[in-house]
Amino acid sequence: MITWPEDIDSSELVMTYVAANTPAYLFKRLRSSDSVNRLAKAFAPEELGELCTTLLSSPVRRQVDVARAYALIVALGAKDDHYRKGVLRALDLAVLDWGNAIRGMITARDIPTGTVTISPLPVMPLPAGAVPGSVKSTPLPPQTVIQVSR
Amino acid sequence: MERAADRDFRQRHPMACFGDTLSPCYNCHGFTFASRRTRISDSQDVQRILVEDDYEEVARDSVRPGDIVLYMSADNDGDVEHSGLVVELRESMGIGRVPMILSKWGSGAEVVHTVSDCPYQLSNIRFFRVTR
Repeated sequence: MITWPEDIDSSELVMTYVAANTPAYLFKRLRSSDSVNRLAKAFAPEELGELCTTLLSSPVRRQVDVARAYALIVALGAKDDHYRKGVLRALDLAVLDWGNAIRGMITARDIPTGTVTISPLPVMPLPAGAVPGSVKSTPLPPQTVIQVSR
Repeated sequence: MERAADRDFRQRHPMACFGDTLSPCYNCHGFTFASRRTRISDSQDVQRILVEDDYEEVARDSVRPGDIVLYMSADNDGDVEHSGLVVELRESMGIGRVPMILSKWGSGAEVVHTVSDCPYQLSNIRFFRVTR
C-alpha cells in the first residue's frame, strides 16, 4: 500500500487548506506549491489516485488528511500523462466539499500543452496573369433563387 | 494537528491579533455577509450580494470603519479570495491611515490585521460600503 511520503511537508498544505475561503484559491495555491509539484513528479497517476482514495476512505479524516487529499488531486492534474484523466474521473470526491469543483477546474484547464511548429513552404512566384491554385479551385456556392409570388 | 495551522499563522503574522475559536462552520464571506451563520464559497454569490445589498465601491482614501474589504484574485477570474470588515483606521508613520481589518481566515480564527498582513493576494484589494 502506498503511503504519504514523509519527506513531503504537510504543514504548508494544511495552512493553505485552512486559509482557503474558495475552491479557486485552494486550487491556485496548491498548484503553485512545491509539495504538490514534488508529488506530481514522484508518483504515477494511479499511485496518486490510490493514495487519495486511501486517505478519503478513512472513517476519521483529520485536517491533514483532507489537505493531503486536495494536494494529491491537484498533483494529479499537474501530471502530463495520458492516464491521469481516467484516474481523475474515477476518483470518488463526494466526501470533499470542493473535490468536484477542483476536479472541474483541472478539467477546464485540459488544453494542449505541446506546440507544433509548421515551417512555411517556399513561395514560388507565379507567371504573369496566372491565378493561384487555391483561388482557382474554390468552387462557387450553388446559387439559390427564391421566387416570391404576390 | 488541528491547531498546528493556527500556530503557523500566528508565527507568520506576529503583528496580527488572533481569536481563540477555530470554526469551520463559517468562512470569511460567511462572517462578512452572513452574520457568521454559514460558509459562502462561491465568489459569484459574493458578487450577487454586493449588487443585491446595494454595496458601492469606495476609494481607498475614503475608507472608514464599517466598510468591507475584498481581496480579489489577481488572475482576473472573478474569484473573491477573502473578505473582511474595516474596524479602524490606524495612523502609521510614513504611510498614513492604514485600514485595520477584522476577518475570518478560512476555517481558522477571526483575526484583526492590517489590510496587507494576511495570507491572501494583496494586488487587487477593493473596498465597498453598503448604501441601502
